[in-house]
Amino acid sequence: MNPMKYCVAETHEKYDFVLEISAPFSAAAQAENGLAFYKRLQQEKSVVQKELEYIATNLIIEINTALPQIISIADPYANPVTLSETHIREFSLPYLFQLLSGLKTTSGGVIHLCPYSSFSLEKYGFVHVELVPFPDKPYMSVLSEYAQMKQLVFIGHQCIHTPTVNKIFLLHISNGVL
Amino acid sequence: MTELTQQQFFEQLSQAVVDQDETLAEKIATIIVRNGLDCAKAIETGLGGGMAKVGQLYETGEYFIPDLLVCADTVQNAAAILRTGLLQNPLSKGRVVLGTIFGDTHDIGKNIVALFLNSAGYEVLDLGKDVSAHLFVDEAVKWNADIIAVSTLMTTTMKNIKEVIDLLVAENKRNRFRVMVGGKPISHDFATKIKADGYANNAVQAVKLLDDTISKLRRNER
Repeated sequence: MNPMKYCVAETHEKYDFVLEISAPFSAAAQAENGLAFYKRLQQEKSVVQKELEYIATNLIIEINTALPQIISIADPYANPVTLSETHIREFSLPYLFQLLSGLKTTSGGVIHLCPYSSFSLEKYGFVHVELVPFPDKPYMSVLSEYAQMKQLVFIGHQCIHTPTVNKIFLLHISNGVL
Repeated sequence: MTELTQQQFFEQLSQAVVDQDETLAEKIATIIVRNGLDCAKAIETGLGGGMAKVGQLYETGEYFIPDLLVCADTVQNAAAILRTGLLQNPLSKGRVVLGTIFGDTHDIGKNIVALFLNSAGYEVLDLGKDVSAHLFVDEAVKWNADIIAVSTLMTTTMKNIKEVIDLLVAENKRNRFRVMVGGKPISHDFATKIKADGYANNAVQAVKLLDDTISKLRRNER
């Protein structure tokens, strides 16, 4: 089993400068078979957590080595319909936060988070959110503008497939106290 | 064998399912078989009763998918032991052809529904994800299914589900199958609009829906 190959899924279906990545939890779930992995949350908690830490650590190295313009991170296997809040707090958010905190760049770029993940990160204090309003624009062009900045920008709370937006939610990393 | 009555064994079996205790459930199932107790009843009231309680816990927000999966596994493993003590093979409740509609590659929910239907005694032919309307219909005919169950997670592919129903109508096969739909964006109104026969919004509801549908079907066949 090599969970790393499930982290970097593919480039975005329309925009080849967007790299879509699975967060550590979903990468592990896809590597194993989602249902078997969910069962292991109940039965092998500490083993699963070690695996997630390994995935997050290695994903940071991969991304920091070749940071694309825009990275879209989703964690579809860790959603509040499927998992309890306890599961999400124990198995998803800490490793997603580890990943986000470890990303370093000198050339800018955007890390876009699926709303499921960004709202959860905000709820548990891993990020705080700054709302920036503006007149209607295609979402992808807004993301591209932010990608030109000198520093790495985290954006969330809206689906990357949203065609047009009139605001953007910047995410600022907090201390992440569980 | 201890002094426990048959009913007490069934209750313990039921509780082992709720407690996600696979080892205990298998142990009790083995005792039931070795002592010549009613294995069919053990499956129905012990395992079935346990799964019904698990369904309630899920619907009240106390259990989540990982809990359900371990419970379903507990049922399947214990049922495999109990089946060795049956005088004849248990009848399947019904045959279900299941899949995620074309254009959609999400299959977590569909896999959970498949597992639950299987644990509840249905024969399930899982066609996987991104399944064409033709494949749904052709496999349902080949497999002599009772139910065609179609899911989607995306609003953009909801409309594709109607193509399965339209194809059944076009091929004059609509009355041969009951069509059930489900998935995150699906609603009862949507199911009615596309003329599906039923809608469930989770795996527990899917089992209830099929139990209800199949019992009506069987009554009408008499």
